[in-house]
Amino acid sequence: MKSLSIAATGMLAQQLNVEVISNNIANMNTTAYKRQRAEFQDLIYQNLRRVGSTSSDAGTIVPTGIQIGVGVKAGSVYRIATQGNLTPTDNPYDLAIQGDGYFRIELPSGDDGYTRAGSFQLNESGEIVTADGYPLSPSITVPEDTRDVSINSQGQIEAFLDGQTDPTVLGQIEIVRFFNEAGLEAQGRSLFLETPASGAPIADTPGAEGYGTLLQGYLETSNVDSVGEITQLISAQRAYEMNAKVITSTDEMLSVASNMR
Amino acid sequence: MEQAISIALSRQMMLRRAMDIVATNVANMNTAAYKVEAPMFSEYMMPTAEADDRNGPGKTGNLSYVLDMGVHRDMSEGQITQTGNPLDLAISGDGYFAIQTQAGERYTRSGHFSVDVDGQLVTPQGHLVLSDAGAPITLNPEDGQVEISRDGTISAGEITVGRIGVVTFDDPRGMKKMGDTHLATDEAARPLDTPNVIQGAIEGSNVKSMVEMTRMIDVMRAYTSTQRTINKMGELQQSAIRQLGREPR
Repeated sequence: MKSLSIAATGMLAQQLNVEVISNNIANMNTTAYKRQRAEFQDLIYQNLRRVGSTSSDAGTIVPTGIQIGVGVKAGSVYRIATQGNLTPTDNPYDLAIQGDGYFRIELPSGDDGYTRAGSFQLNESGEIVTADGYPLSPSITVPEDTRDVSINSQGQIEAFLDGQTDPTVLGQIEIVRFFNEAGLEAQGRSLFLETPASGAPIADTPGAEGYGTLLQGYLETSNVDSVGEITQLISAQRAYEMNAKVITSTDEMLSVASNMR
Repeated sequence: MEQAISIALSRQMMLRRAMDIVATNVANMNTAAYKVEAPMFSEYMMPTAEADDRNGPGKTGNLSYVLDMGVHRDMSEGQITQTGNPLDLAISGDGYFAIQTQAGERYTRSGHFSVDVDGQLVTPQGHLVLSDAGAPITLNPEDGQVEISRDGTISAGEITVGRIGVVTFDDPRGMKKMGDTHLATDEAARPLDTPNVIQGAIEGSNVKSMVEMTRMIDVMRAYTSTQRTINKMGELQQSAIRQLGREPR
């Protein structure tokens, strides 16, 4: 009976669903984490009685045929790139992007990585780096005798140096956008890599048309909605159980058949 | 008596098929825009070869077998869930999105779309989503936020990009399921003048878990009781052989 394998595909799909939900819940407090969603599709159908075939020599046709599916598969797991909330941190190097865009980070391999988690710090030479120590690209160095740093919404960094009243411009933070943001490859540690599906990054200053603006002293939280995830989890668990029930029932039907004589 | 067994067998074969349909429904409980299906049975009248006394002298009777004649698709709308993704679209009420595949035009109500490298609106499999003019829809990320209005008009920033194609059919039940929540039909698509497109939402399946579970129990019990009939018939035959085949004393 096909229902055994059909229910098995259903259980596998729900298992994936629970995995995606648990990853969302686990990352509820990860800076700038974007929640994911599993999307499912039905599998190919078997035609037992083809719809539209002729059912008599008078030319009548079968109005509804018999098509039996063979189960379900995961279509895609995609990120939902809505804006997370902003929380104040009072750290001058914490930056949140309000709107679209990613910070460009230079990875140790020399490649570029992209992130929205703007929890930056200074390294030993005064360079602005991520929590992993990867420098922001283009790199910006803060002089040692800096009293205070101000980053405006357009990404311009100004430093107030000791003994000076006027600020010194240190540099300009660029953010990038992608044609297909969903096509970025997640690397973990809140980093993303460019792929052929995402398209090449398009850099501009924050606040340019279509780009987000920066907010100093704030971090973007994850966009995971805990209530939503828990209700999703409940429905996934129930769906899993029901698929298991289908297997039990099918098994019972099969045992009836095998105990015939 | 042999007929009784084959009648019961015809019922069991249909029940197995019904179970497959229930299993597909349950497996697709969380599939976007999946439409629940139920088997339809019909009676098949099999004329008996000989006249027998049940029908009066000289008349032939009919035996009633069961035959599956079709699968009924419940076209009611699934629950519409907000996803927050600007390119997730749900259709409230009648209508299908038209998509272009290698095998020809396909239709779907599952509106999880994204843009590809060229900025064209595509399905998760990379098939192009068609506009009301039957052309691909190209978005430019530099134009700004994509807004899709109720009637399907797509605007990016202040530019109107086009209108997403929402079509309908005179006989939606004649559509074949092709997997990937795609439907195919030979019928010509008719554009819907006033579609009701909801941005940032996905239509869920219309599988009602309670209904499917009760249907499953129903199928299983019917199968078991038909089995009992077959067993009884077998016993009857056995005892007939034993009794009638006894050597005369």
